[in-house]
Amino acid sequence: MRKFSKLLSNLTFWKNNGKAKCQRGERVRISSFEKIKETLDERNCNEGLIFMESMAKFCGGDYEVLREVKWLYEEYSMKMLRCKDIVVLKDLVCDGKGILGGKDCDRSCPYFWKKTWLEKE
Amino acid sequence: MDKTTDRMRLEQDHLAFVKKRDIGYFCQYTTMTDIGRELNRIEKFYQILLRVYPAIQRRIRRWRRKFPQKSDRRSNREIIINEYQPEDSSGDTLKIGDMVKVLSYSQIRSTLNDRGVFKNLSFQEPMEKYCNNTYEVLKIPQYVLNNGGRKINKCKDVVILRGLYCNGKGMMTHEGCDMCCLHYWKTDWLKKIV
Repeated sequence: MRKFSKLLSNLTFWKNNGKAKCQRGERVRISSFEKIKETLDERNCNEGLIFMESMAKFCGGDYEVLREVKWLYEEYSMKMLRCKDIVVLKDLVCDGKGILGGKDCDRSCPYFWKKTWLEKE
Repeated sequence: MDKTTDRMRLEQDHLAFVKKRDIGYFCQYTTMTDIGRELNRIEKFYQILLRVYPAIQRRIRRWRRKFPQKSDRRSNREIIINEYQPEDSSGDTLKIGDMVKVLSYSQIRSTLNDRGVFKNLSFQEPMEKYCNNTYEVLKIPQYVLNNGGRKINKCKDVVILRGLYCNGKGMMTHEGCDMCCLHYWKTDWLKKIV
């Protein structure tokens, strides 16, 4: 019975995490760089999500929510991963400058933003 | 004045930290395993259940193709003829900011092989709705990180268009993938608008 209750508690995709949902098309403001910096650990990460150098220029701006990220596809292990409190904003795409040891990466991945880095208008 | 100096100092600290690269990470794409977690048993079981119904439907469709009924035979007679042949690639002429028109689906389909691939680039189902429309060139990729950041691929005659995100449907799970990657387009599938 304990095991069953543990498994049930792991079911995160059926329960609300308590944080406000970000719907598609909603306008949000990215917090200032100083505020975001407070949420980061020594590895420059917030719950595993790295805040990249090139993301700093978007701080303080208003942007549209494209999608709330719940499922990720990890290409190396070819597995689907679950994640929470992550949002993709419209037209904010990685420029990939200097990522490949001097060369630029042109993959143009959209940036992932933690909900704690965003403020609702 | 103090605020600006503080901000500058923070930015310098941040840049110094990133340049150290002692964390071994390059970007968000390579740290995917830290962002998400693997599915637990119940979630896996739930995903299998969701996959069962479409799998049965697929089997039925396959059997129908093997042993067509009377009503299906009529539709098989309609043979689509595509006389379109792709012109010389306009990859050299395309620049960032150019407006391009995506060719019609029938024209693109004629370039694809049995697996839906043209020159190692697959044409996905959600890309079909963007046909016959005009879009702006966002980037012309040359080097791309691949395989979870473990491989660098060189691209040729490929273009990324602004605002054309993958909706992730048809991926391994029922809900699909939410990464919102941008679609890649071969230059043979596009026509430059002057």
